[in-house]
Amino acid sequence: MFRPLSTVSLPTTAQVLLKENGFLYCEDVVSHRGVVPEARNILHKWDLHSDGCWQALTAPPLTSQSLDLWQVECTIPRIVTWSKNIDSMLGGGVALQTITELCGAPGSGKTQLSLQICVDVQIPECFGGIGGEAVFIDTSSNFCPRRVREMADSCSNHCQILSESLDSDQRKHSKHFTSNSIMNGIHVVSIHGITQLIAAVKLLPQALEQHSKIKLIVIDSLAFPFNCGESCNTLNRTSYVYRILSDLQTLAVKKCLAVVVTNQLTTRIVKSINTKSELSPALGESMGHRVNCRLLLGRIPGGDVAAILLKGNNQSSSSAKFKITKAGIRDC
Amino acid sequence: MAKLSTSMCQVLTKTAIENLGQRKIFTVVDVLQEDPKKLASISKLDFKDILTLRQALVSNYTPFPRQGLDAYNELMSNCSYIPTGIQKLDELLGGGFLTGNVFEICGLSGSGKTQLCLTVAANVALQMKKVVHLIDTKLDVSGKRIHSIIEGRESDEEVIGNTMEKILVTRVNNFYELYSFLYHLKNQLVREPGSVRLIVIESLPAVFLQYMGNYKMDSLGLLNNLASLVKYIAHEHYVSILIINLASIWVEEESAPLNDDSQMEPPVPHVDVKALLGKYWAHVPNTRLYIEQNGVPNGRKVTVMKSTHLALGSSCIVSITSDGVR
Repeated sequence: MFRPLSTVSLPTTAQVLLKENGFLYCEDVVSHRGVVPEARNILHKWDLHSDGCWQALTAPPLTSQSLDLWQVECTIPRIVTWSKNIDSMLGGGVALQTITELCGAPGSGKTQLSLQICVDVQIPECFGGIGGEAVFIDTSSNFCPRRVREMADSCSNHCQILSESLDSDQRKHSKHFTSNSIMNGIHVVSIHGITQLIAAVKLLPQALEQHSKIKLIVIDSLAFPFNCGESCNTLNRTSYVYRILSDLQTLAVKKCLAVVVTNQLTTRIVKSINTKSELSPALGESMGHRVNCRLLLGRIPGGDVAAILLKGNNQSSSSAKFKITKAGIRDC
Repeated sequence: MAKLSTSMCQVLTKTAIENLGQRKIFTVVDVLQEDPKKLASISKLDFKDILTLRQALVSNYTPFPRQGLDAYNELMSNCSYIPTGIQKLDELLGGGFLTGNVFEICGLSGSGKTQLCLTVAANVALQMKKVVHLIDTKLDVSGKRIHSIIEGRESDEEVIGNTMEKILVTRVNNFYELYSFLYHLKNQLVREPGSVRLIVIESLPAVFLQYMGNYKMDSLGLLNNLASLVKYIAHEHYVSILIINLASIWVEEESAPLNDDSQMEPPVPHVDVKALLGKYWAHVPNTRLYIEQNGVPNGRKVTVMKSTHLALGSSCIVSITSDGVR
C-alpha cells in the first residue's frame, strides 16, 4: 500500500499539478534516491523540492514511553487559586499544558475565577508561584481593571507580609512584585466577533515570542462570539471551536502554559417521553470532549459558590466550595 | 508505485514512457484502460511488446483468489483474541479484541471512554508484555493515570516501570501527523511482523471536527484515506485497532416543541444518541461499542451497537474505580 499524496500537507495547487502529471503517491515523488527530477521541477515553484523538505512533510511525530510522560507530568508546576478546596479538587491547582474549561450561569463567578488565576500566575518563584504573565482575551467586554486592582493589592500585600520571613536576597527579589507589576503582567486583548477571535489566536505565537514570560492564556467567554452577530451554523461553529482549541493546545505544550476558557450554560431538551429541558454547557457535546478538564460553577444558598468537576482525567468527580470576597477568591 | 517506470517491465523503455507521458498516460491504470493498438502507436513499441507489458502489469498488480479453507486456516493460525483484562468485557467480546478487526468505542463526553482504553492498554502491557501504541490527539493520555492504574494491579516498582515502557504514547496535532504516524507503523510492521498487536487512537473526532462545515468535503477524502490505511494495517498485519469516537445527542429540530398553543398532545421530540464522523465512518469499524452511565455512581454500561461477529444489543456493566475500569 502506498501513501496517497492527498494525505500530505501540500498546497492544493501543488496537489493538482502533481496529479495532472501522473504523481498519485508519495512513492512516485520520492524514490530511494530522493525526490525524482521530474517532480523536483514541478515542486520548485513552492520551494518544496528538497529531500529534507519531503522528509519533514512525511515524518512521523515523536513517540515517547508513558514512563517518561509520567515523570514529566509529576514535575509540571500548577497555578494555585487561593482556594485550597479548588486546588485539591484539581490536584494542586490549574495545570500547565492543559485546557481547563469553566462553565456556569451568569454571575456564577467564571470571570472572577479567571481574573484571580491571571493574578496568581504572577506570584514569584520565591513564594512558590511560577512568576509568569497572562494573556486575557476578552470577548464580551467583561474585563474589569478595578476588580483586578483589588485582587492585585491583596495578593501583593499578602506576599509583602510573607517576605519578612525570607532572607534579604529573596526579599530584594520580592520587592518588584507590586500591585502595579501585577497589572502590567496581564495583557488584555479585546475582541469583537468570531473573525477577530480567530485572528487573535493566530497571532498568539508571535506575542509569545515577544513576551516569553507568558504562562497563561484566558479566553473569557469562548461561547459569546458564537452567540451573536455574524451568522454561523452549528457545523461551522464546531469547526471554528476545534481550530481555536487545537491551536491553543499546540501552544500550551510547546511553551508550557495553561489555557483557561469560560463557557455559558444553555438549555437542552433531554427526555424523550416527557419533554424536559436541562441546563448544559454551550457549544455542544463536542466542546466537552475537546477540553481536558471541565468545572461547573454555580451559586448556592448563602452566597457562596460551588464548583463541580465534570470532567478530569486524573481526578474522580468531586466538588468544592469557595466564596468571592473583595480580595478575590477565598475558601469559605 | 503507480507511475510507469523502466523497472516495471523490460520492454518499457525510457523513450516509450516519455512518448506515453505526452499523451497524459502516466500510470499503470492509464495503460490498462487504453486500447493496446493506440498504445502501440503512441509509444512506438511493437504491438507484441504492448501485450507483454499489459500481461506483466496485470500479473504484478492482481490479487489472486484463495480457497475458503486456506483462508480460514491462515486466519486461525494468525488471529487471536487480545484479552482486555476486564472480565465482563472479555465475556462480552468473546475473549477480547479480535486481531484483524477495527473496534470503536463511542460515548458521550465524560462517559469513561478514555478510562476504558487506558485500562485496556495497561492490562495488555502488564499481562501480555506486549507493546501498545496510544495515539493521543488531545493530550488526554495522562502518565499519572496510567501509573495509578498499573499500581492498582502490581506493587513491584520495577514491573511497573517495565510495563510503562511498553505503553508508547504519540501525540499528534492534526490529520497529517496522524496519517504519517500510522504509515510509519505500517512500514515498521513490514520490517518486523508481529511487533505491534494493539493500536489505540484516542479520539478521532478531535482531528476531524475542525473540517466540519465549509470544509466538509476535505474531511471526507481524508477520512476515506485514513479508513483504508487502518483497515489495511488491521487486516494485513493482524493488529487490533481501537478507535475512540464521540457520541452526541441529537434532537430532531422539527419535532422539538416550540410552543404549546395547540390542545394537541405535545409532539414528542426525537432524541437520539449518534456516533460522530457521519454516515460514511459508521461503516468502517467492524465492531462498535457504546459506553454510557447507568445510574449507579461510577457504573458504566457497555453495549454492542454494531458487529460482524458479536450479538447486537448484548451488554455488560463495568465500574470505573481509582485504579481503572473493573
